[in-house]
Amino acid sequence: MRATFGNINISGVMGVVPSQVKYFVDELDNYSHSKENCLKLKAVMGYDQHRIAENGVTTSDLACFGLEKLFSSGKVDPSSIDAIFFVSQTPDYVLPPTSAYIHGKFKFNNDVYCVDINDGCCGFIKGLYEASALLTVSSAKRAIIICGDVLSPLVSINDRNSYPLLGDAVTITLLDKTESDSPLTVEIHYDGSGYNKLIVPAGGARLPSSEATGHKVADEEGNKRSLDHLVMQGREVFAFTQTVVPDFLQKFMESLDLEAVDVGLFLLHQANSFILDRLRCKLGVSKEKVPDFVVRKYGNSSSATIPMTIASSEIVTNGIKVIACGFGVGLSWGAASFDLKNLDFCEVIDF
Amino acid sequence: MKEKILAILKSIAPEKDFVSSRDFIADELLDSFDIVLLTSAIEESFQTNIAGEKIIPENFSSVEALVNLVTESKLAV
Repeated sequence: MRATFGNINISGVMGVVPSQVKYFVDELDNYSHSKENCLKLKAVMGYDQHRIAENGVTTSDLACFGLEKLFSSGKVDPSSIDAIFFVSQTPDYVLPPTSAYIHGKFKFNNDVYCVDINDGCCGFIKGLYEASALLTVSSAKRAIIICGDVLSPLVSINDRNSYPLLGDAVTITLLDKTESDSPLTVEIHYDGSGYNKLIVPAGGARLPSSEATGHKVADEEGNKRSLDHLVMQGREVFAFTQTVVPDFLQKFMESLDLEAVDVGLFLLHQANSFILDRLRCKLGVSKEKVPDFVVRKYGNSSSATIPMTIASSEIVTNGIKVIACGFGVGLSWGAASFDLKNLDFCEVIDF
Repeated sequence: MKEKILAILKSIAPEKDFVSSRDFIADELLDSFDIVLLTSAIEESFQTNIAGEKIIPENFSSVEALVNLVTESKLAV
């Protein structure tokens, strides 16, 4: 599915991360693998430090903290918001939607449209798509897209494949309907036959959490996790990122008559440094054009890694051409092409 | 090249018997993250770059397969 929007602009991006910093080197005793090999992975995979929320902190807590900062500082007028898109895999409740909870928290106008999108690593692209579509076809002029997760309670601390990379975070992206001379093009694909490649097996209607689902067992690689935890089919997911994703990205760019040299920044989902480096080589571009500092500094925060890279403003220059690409749970993959200019705010704050 | 590859394998999993094994994957001598480490070590040792789509279990299943992988990667540069 593909769409081009002619009058949409990203006006600001804020990242919110828990202040608690955890270091991979301090977590080695949690894993059954040799310390020597774990330390080798540190450099190759980008295992370094990650932000982990304190017990009881939810995704909406991070989001509301950021929104409060934006409103109280005068950077965003709350009455200007027409829609809230909450893109996350970790809602506060099964029901109601977390976007409704946030709506109530800030006493937004009754006309404000609220929607939750259950998505992960491709979630920013999907949020952009849906928010842009709403702004284009309705009277709404401004939307916020909240992306991210507090996924740490759903990842086993004894899972060396996933836990070292995990980072809790949200981002708040401000999207405006405006007179823009640069189009926003978004394209998204799904392959639901891979639904179980990244999955938390228990906790939903199909397999409710119980004492039994909370029992940890070791897999063939020595990672201990329960059915209440995230499990990733690493080989299959890796193969997907190295075959489907680069081919798609290449075709997406060709369809826009873009070559790598025309693009200022490739904001690829920061799954891990190993994947990113291979994708970068495939694109044939320098390391500066494919940043991976978010996963090293904050961890992989699912739908938040792409906007988090924007929020870390040192790499964003006014008018820069961006190709963003998300890929992961679903399986899903998607890309967006846009210019970044005149951001009203661009920052990462600690919760 | 074979000796160098065997030395790298031993450095990653010193307790495993790579000499007797006919299939490192089927014999469970290498897990997915060992393959990541092996890729990185081979790239560094042989000054080459292994394309992501080549990082599949069958290319890591034996010393011969790894020799082919390195050779093909060097030719592709």
